[in-house]
Amino acid sequence: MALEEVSRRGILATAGAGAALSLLGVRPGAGGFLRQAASNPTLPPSPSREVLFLTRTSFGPRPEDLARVRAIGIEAYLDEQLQPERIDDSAVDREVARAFPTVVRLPAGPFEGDARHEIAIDLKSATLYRAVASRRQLFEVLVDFWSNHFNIYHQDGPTSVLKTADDREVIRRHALGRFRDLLGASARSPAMLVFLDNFTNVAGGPNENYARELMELHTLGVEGGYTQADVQDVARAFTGWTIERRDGRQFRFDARSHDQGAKRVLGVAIPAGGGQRDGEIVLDRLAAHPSTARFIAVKLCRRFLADTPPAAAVDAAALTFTTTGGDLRETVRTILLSTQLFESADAKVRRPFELLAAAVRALPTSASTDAARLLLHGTKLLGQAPFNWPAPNGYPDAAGAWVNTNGLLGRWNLLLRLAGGRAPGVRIDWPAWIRASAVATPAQLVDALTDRLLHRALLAADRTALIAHAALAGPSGAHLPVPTLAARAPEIAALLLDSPYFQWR
Amino acid sequence: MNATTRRSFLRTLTGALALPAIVPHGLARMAFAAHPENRAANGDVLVCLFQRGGSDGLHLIVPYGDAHYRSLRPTLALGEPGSPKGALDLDGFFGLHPALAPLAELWQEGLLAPVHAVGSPDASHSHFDAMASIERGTPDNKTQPDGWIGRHLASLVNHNDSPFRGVGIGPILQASLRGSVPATALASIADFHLEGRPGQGAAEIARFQASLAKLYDGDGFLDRQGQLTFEAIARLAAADPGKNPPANGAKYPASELGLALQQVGQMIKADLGMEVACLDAGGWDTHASQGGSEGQMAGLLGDLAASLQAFATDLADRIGRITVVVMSEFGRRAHENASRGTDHGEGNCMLLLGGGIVGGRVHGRWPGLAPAALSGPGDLAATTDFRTVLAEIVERRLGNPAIGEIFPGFTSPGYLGVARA
Repeated sequence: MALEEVSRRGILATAGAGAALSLLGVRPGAGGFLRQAASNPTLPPSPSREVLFLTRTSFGPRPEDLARVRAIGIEAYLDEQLQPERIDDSAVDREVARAFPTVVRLPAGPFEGDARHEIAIDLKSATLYRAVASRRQLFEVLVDFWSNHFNIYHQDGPTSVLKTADDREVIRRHALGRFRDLLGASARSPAMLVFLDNFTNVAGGPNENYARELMELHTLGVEGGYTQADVQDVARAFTGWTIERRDGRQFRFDARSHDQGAKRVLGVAIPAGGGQRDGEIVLDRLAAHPSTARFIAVKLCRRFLADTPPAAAVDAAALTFTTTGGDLRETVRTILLSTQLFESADAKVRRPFELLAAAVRALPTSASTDAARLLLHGTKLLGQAPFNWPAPNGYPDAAGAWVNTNGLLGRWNLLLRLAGGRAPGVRIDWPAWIRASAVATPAQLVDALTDRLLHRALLAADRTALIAHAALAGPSGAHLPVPTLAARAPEIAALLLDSPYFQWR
Repeated sequence: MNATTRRSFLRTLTGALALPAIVPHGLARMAFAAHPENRAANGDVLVCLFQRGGSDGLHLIVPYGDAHYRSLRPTLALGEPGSPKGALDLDGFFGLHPALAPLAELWQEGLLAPVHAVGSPDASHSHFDAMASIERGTPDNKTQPDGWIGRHLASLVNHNDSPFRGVGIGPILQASLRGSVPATALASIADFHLEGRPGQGAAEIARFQASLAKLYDGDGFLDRQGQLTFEAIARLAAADPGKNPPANGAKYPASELGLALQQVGQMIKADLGMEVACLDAGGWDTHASQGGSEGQMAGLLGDLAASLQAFATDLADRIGRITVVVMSEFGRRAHENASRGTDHGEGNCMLLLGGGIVGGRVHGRWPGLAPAALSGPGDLAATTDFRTVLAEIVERRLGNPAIGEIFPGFTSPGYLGVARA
């Protein structure tokens, strides 16, 4: 199994090595795609197919997830995860409603500064809590993906309040639906109308902000074949798409500020007098455009496979997207069952959000809503708090953006704190865990924690170093009392979480 | 280099400072020693401040003397110099936005030089394309994997092995710094060390760090970044830049930008071997409610000016060896939109600051704002390629003549004379 795994990656390494090498070591794939022969003793043993699959499709495998996927197989497990409405997540829903009530039900406004802040914190915290606790893991991963694809910065005036409805009615409602529905819902979302200024886009002095990002970031991609003239006419098509005057929480089409003239978008004539239809025609055209299929396929493959995704996987995903009329569930299924996924071990680095959620899921602690506040603080420190990326393109999804001296040091410090087990919301009863795991010696402590946190084998040299750390000056096989082992467990857990192994997604 | 050597290197570092000769990226760089003509590291420290979002250059350095200025911007245009809250005159044609008042003194001292109507041949009007294009320094080659500053550092052989040669302030390393010379990203000097768990002493933290270093002793991407991090921690601890308070009564604003520039100043004064610092200022994408003499953009300009002025005051003793470049991905549309903002444009204004800058004048060829002079959808035309300005600074102030390597495929039509050799 492991051998087969390595040789498959060997093929990929040959194909990708030239490109990666030319990138002067700034390419994140170096850890995975640059791996050479199976005999290279400095390469860590690969994770199993099941572990790799779960690491990519969730915020980190929990022991029970691993047991489930081993029991029913990857395909059946994926079927379950692709139908999140059939997974009972009521415990998590109840906790969200209790701890973060505005996420479920937003009171009537208007809101003062403090109330707005609370609403924003509720949504961010609920997002982190769900990433850690929800049983609908793939769904939460996709919610994160689409929240970034249709990124809305939480600190742009009223977006701190409006994003709550966008999260529920746009992103969550359509994350596994049809792309055209998702796009249409986003176009009418008050949060998006405010963030990209379309609510002020009126005839006579069009505002191009939304029009440009709609094509560049939401659909075609910057190389997708549109021109500045298209941007200007798309902006004209969306004049009058605005928000209700009363509280700004509903979409409104204002015919009086709509530019009723004829337009031409991507070579298609839009006759004069179309009113609100103009915008819908543009959205139809963009959603069905081949550049959009490719752009979405590339981004999804970048999320699930590699920073520079393999062309064959992108082609397959784009084909599914096109033939199913933009069915996101089927597009995702194509990617997650592709052979390329299983050839891409250690090709993606966890970003801070993913890293911290994965740490809480891996540690022997129960995820509480209190943990969300701590995680929020942590994601802020590491630069990836939910909805906190000011530009409309969303957080970058490539290791080059995240792995640097500052990013690594920040990770090390935060994970060290989490592993201590004393942070509010992330309590760990290390003595109980040691008893339950039947750990008696420093070597057993290292092995049991490796299994629990990484689900994969270590290089022999790394295991030796960890055992030496756990043994202090004593013998690695010495039987030690539970309190002594419990006192040493947090450091070993922190070293494992801080190690390169845990940084891979 | 094999694993054993690397490990001993790291052990040396965690104890005392390593000998520069065995720093791995130093060794790697020797292989590039194809520029014996390059001068040693006696060039200026370059501080590159990027205004993210597309800063409105017409609002920074205001062409109040242009006959078309006012009609293009009925609500945004600033008043004539002398009028209440009007522009602050520079040369009878251009003026400073009044929020930039703290910079007027630097202009008078000859330390400040705006360069107007600068742009990139890649006029895509996309933030992300334009930023990537400028930071790569190759508007015509999107596959260039490294940044222009990264290539500058790689092509300058000066026997400086410090991991602080290139420093990016903030959580994400600026793309311009990417390249074969590893750059250090740092958000806070004070926090740049391993914290340890509550109650742990220095010896225990050092023991943890030593064990962690063993887990990063391979040659993968993460391993190399880990090694660089350990080295940076050690060097920073030894130099202790936090001990340098602002000098000459400089008062940095308590903003992100103010704190970032203050830290750059501290690292310069600590002589860490820093040659380039990159930092970012966000919020310039003013599609709506841009504001005139007051409001959204005026607030950003006030912070920018106060931060730069504090930096120049703090570093007054060394300003002759410092060059600051303030730039953005593009300028904004010459005419305002109905949202009282401006859409993405083309030509823009750069600000240069430093003792080696030919200051006290506005450089560049002004194309004018007449309808026929505007570019594309109504943008200020770009009459100077951004690389012309940067190449002059690289060659004359940073002492690196390898312009062909830093800006491949670019031939400068002749320098503007913004910097003294």
